[in-house]
Amino acid sequence: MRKRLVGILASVAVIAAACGGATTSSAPPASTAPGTSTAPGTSTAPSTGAGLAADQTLRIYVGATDPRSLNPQQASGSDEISVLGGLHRGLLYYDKDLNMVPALAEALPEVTDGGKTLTFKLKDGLKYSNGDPIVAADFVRSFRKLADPRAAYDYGYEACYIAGAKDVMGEDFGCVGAPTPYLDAEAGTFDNAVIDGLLAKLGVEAPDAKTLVVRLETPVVFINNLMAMWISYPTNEKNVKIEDGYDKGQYGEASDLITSGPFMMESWAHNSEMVLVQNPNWTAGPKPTLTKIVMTFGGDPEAAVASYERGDLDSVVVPGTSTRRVFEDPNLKDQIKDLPQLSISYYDFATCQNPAKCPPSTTTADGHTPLANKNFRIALTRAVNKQELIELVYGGLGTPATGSVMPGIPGWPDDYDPYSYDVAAAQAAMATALTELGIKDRADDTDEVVTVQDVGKLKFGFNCDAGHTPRVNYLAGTWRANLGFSESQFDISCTDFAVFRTERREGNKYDITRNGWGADFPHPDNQLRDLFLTGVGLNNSGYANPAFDALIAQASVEQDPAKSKDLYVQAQRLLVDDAPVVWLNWATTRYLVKPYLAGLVATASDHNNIGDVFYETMQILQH
Amino acid sequence: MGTYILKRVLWLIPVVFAVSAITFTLMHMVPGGPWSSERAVSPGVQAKINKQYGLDKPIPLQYVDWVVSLAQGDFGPSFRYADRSVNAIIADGLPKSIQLGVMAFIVAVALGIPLGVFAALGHNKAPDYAATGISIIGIATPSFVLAILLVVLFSVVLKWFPTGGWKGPETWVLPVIALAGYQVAVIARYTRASMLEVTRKDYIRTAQSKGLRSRAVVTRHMLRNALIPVVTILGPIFAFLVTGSFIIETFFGIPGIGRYYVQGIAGRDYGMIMATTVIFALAVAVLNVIVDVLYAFIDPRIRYS
Repeated sequence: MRKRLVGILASVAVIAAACGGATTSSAPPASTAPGTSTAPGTSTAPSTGAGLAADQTLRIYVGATDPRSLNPQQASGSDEISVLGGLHRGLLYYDKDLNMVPALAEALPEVTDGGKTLTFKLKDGLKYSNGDPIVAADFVRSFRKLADPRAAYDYGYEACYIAGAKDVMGEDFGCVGAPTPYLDAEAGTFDNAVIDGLLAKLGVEAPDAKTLVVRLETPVVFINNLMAMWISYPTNEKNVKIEDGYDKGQYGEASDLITSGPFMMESWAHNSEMVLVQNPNWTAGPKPTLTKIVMTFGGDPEAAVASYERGDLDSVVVPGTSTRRVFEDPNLKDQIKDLPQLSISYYDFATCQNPAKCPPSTTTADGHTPLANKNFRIALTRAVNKQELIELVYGGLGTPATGSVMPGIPGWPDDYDPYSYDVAAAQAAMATALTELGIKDRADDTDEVVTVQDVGKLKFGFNCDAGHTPRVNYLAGTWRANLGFSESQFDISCTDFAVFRTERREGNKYDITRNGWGADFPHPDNQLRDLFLTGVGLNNSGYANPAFDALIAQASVEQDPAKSKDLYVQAQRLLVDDAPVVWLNWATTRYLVKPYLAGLVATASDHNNIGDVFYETMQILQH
Repeated sequence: MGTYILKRVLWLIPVVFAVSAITFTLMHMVPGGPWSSERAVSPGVQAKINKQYGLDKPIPLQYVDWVVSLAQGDFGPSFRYADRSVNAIIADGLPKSIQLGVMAFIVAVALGIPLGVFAALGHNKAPDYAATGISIIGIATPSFVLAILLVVLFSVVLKWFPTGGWKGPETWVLPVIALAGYQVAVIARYTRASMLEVTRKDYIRTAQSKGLRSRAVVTRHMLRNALIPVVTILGPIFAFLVTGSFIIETFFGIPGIGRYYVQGIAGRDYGMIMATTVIFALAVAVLNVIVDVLYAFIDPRIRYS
């Protein structure tokens, strides 16, 4: 039906790409100077009693659809994480500069045994939203849930650092060093008794109700970040639901949720609205001023901005298509806050360092894609004016990215930029690359010399319907202009996101592939290991450098923070030198915030709304 | 008549089966799967999810499993929403879609038919041009353009109505108008065309020459005859409206089932795709039966045996 087709075409503008990756869509090509830039960790002045509104209700828009699951160990998208962050707290949490502070724990853990044993002591009098006491055994339950191969959670692999996890999960679930203990490997089934036995030996123990001991395989320098992640939130025994021999958990309705944080869920109208209210049993931190948070779902980000303008929302994310309009609107301009986010846009090059991810070519001497040549990649990187790119196709929001670790992570970014924008240097690198690749002049072109046009077609892939087209076009255009590629040389194609993800992961189809990443936690390890370690699933460029791997391994066990950071810096510099990808933009998000919303503590780690790492500091002033 | 209805109802079963089988096949031919998340999941996770949802079995076997499950009234688990079943999600959303659809249908019929009659009676004069003009604008304007215009004017500028949600009468107005807009135009066009055809008929001239007042001519003689083609299209229109318009529901944030049509496909949520397709096919098929039965009441010349 015609209407259905229109519906589908309209819907693709509405369905944003899934979690992970910068998805700020393009603005019309015109430069937009950034609005009032807000450095991370800043707060708007909180009020003290006088001037507070009688109704302390915060109204925000979280996402277009219901979160997929509020089971903390299952959650993997920013919608879920955003909601869970208001409902729960774990052992540790962050301060406004994204340094680790204790939350449910009394203090940062006592570290012994060369960094392999952590002992946490819980604060006194902790209670869940339903009044049950929070005990150390609840954390043991959470980690066993996370490490259960029968549950097969997306983030289960983070449990691999715990002693005994590799025996119960094994290689198929992300842990190195042991096979997965299948009952029948072909069928993928497990023996419940065996798995339960192995989980009981997992390195997490609760010697008493207030003490939790975590034993690790090796020291892990970012273990505290993992303890603050949503996957480490405690699990009340009443949330346990055993089905097929393991805990599937009960989290489908508001009445199921037993939560540990400053807010609890009062009601959940699916796909429409969640209402959070203060958790009367919250004692681990200051009592929030807000009494209610109304989280709206449904619609789309543009409609949310309209809702904000009407006065139905107190703060909102401005999608890329509206950033300029909002900036130019005199009513809205003063309410803009631009905030750097822990998220990055980059494009993979097919490095062929992983022989399984190596597209072919008919023009190079070895038959592999020309992107396998380092100078070719350097040429492409140096030909891009990242500042202009940001002005034109990111609505002026963002910072030119020179590496994988974004600003906002304490101690970063590193300002090492060996391949800055320099057209002459780019052309020189390209000339070298052409010689190294053994490119021959094509007989059917008009010149008698070897140029980049003799390289043949390069396949450039991205996912449709997330606003990437102008960026892809900009890059192709800039490479044509600065390096001399011909009009038809870039075979640019986009596909549906689900198909694209699969193709990108296989790594054999495209020479240049669009990519993006949002940090799981604010530590350089997550931005380096998870994306560039040899053979990891998200390493789409196929980067394989044993020296890099060794540095990462060393950095993550090094107990001295300064030495550890230095090793991570060295690792990133090695990575940047090899140019397996071209990093483009460290994202900045534009928010609109009503002037009566005070006490906001905005961080680079904000999920779906400004300041949503710290709902407990927000206040509504009289207005 | 009774046997006719029974026969038509029994025919629903093979129709739904055929639609579901074709959908199932097409669904599995599309590359990608429900497990492909942004993060690369480990092979064990992927295999486990396959096994959990029966995706490792051959496709005909999976279809049989689905049919058996459906016979027990269970649409199966949602691959996207781990904590809720498709039945629960649809039970939540369908009543809202139906409510929105029924309201939009009533508005569309209440405005569309009189508009068409008005145009036909004032044929080739001002009323006709006005009504036809409105119809053409209505048909040419996509529903989301109308929705955006409505929101900008009535919600943001005038602040009369909220921009979305589904909480009480003030949130119903804009989505109903946006949804009904196109249908008003379509129904008006059909009504006008049908009325014009009836106007030329002999029995109308007879009635007029007998001295019947024009209102009696219109209501007693013209309208009933003109309505048959209109009723034909009202069936599918009603089916479309009550099964949830994706665009309107998404734009106004209405928690119906409309969004699941496309979201299910984009996310390869097989259980949801099958459920939404079956519901839509059933709605269209049932409404076609109702429409055919209604013919017999509207037009006494039509007899079913």
